[in-house]
Amino acid sequence: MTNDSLILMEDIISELRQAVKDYDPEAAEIAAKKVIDHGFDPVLAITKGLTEELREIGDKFGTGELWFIDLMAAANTVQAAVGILEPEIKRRNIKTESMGRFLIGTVEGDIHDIGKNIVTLLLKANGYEVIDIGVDIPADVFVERVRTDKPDFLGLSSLLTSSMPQQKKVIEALKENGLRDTVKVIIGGAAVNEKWASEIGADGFAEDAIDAIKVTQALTLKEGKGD
Amino acid sequence: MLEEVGFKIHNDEALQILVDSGVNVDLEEKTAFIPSDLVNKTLKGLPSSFKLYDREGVNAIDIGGDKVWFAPGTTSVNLLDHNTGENRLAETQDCVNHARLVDALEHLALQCTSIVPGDVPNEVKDWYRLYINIVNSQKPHFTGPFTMEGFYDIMKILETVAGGKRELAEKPRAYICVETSSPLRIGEIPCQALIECARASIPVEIRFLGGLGSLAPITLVGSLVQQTAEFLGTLVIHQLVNSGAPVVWCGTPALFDMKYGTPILSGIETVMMETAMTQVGKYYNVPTGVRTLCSSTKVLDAETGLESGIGLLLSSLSGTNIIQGPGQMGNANLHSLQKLVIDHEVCGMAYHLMDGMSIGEDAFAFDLIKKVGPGGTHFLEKHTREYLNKEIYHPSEVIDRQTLPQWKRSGSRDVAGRSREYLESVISTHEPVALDADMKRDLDEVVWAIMKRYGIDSLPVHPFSA
Repeated sequence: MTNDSLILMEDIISELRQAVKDYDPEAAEIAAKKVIDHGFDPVLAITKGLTEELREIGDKFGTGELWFIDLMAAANTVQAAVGILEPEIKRRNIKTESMGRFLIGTVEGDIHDIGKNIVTLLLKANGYEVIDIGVDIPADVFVERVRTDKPDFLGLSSLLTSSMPQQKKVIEALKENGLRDTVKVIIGGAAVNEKWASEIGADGFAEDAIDAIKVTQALTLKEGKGD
Repeated sequence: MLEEVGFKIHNDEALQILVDSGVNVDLEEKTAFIPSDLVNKTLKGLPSSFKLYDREGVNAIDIGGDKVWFAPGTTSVNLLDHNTGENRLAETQDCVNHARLVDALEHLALQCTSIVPGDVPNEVKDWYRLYINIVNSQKPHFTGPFTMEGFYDIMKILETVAGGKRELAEKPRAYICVETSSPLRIGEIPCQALIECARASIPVEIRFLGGLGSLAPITLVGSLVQQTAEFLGTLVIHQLVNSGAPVVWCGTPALFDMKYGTPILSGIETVMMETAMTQVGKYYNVPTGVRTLCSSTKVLDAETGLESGIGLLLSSLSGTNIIQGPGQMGNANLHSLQKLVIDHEVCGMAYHLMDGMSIGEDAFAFDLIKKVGPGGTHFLEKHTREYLNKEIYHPSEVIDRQTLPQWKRSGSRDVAGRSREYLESVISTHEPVALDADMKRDLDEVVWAIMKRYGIDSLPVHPFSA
């Protein structure tokens, strides 16, 4: 790379970071496109331009300096840029390791999705590949998606006390289909607690969206993936 | 909002009802675009009040107008143990204690299925707590189903208590909670329960949870407008099924905490919105309900008191018809019998506040003041004795009014200690009026049939075994 190119790459990375700081998905997309137009390294753009900035914002959220909506807005901006850069990474056949593949959905009989949607956004921003299959999902559909999509993690969301038994049903169905050991199951939802999680044999339980990320990361480390 | 943005209804029967009434419905998206003239027509036919009856169908309370009633908060899975101070999963015995306590507390007009028993199978969790409340109290009920099967079981139990479907419709013993799923949606089960209640003329409470900045706009009026739209959309379905069927409009608008990323129900914004919602409800001439005594705390401390106190007083002064929340903490995830009796005191204070001061020549007491004269006292005056109970609210021993030496001599107890002693005393001495033998037998048979259907041999409190 020439000196000019280096400077230009640095400028674009600054642009990406500023876009995340400003919670500006459009600016993030413009900067991401520049990376591609100049033939620069998209993986570097993500790690230096996006992930680092998001981590700083995450830290500030942790200390109370920034709010939950700041975190979400930053994650959303990162996602906009990643949406442009990821296809380029695939096109160039660059080998990258995502932190893991996470399949998520709200169980049958329940249409609540706000928790699931926040978790999805934050997981993506933290380097996980997330497949969100929506709400009111029957157990057999979860099983089928685990079979075909081969996720590392399965997230089951249930807000209502009445739909919680579905979480148990999904785990049982995975066992019946010989798929239980292929995936780590994490459950969440307002009525869910540790006792229920251990009763049904879940691998993890998340008290809220932030906790979901922590639990996933802890399970990722255990599996020997990620940093 | 309903016309342009639409109301998503996850219930085919409701969608068809709207289609049949000429409403523009996108069946694939399950979204109805409800026109304002239908809403206005619906509001015109709405009953402005209804009666809720006690278990025996003898006494009733009027829900509507400016009359204020208090009811415990609902529905919590966890319990603050008044013996250990531990925050644990609730059990059947807690439901029994709660029902007996609520039965005894004079300022609580209604029983609520406040506690979800964790020691019973999932299939019984909703109707079983209602059964316990009915057995242990004569007061009218507020409850809600977890599943449609649970709903039909609840209806069967209520019909048995009333003596039949028609009798229950004429003298409802309970009203049922139906909650929307903001923004602008209603789920299948709540909607089906809504339709069935309308058909059976059982009063229904249409409730909004929302969430400022999450499931509703962060601006309070924006959230209020969305809440109103969700109420009106649900109401239209309800009234199309049965015009004139009784309804309560309830708002428990949550705050979405931007630091912790969770919904909370104790913020001053919730109180502001609930009082505003009550004003809108009065404009529509519909009975109103709120939940303003739910604190965010997990222990009995100053924050618990102030969150409940502020909410309760403001909503009483607004004239909301049913004020829920006594006993509830932890953002509606935790219930406490100690908090219940503490909040009960505030209910008494609120009633006293709403009654106002005595006015009139005798109250102004000019002649008396003249008689007592400068430097005299009123202790021995008949006037003082006559007005003592009317003019002054007398709290129970839950509220501390002792001097420092008196307080030390009686054990230096804080409100946690005083409320624990008080509630234990009430539970052990209060005898709820028992079910009469016929009603008990009929109810036992219904409950036993439900248990049998689920293959359940026994429950912690159950009529009889096989």
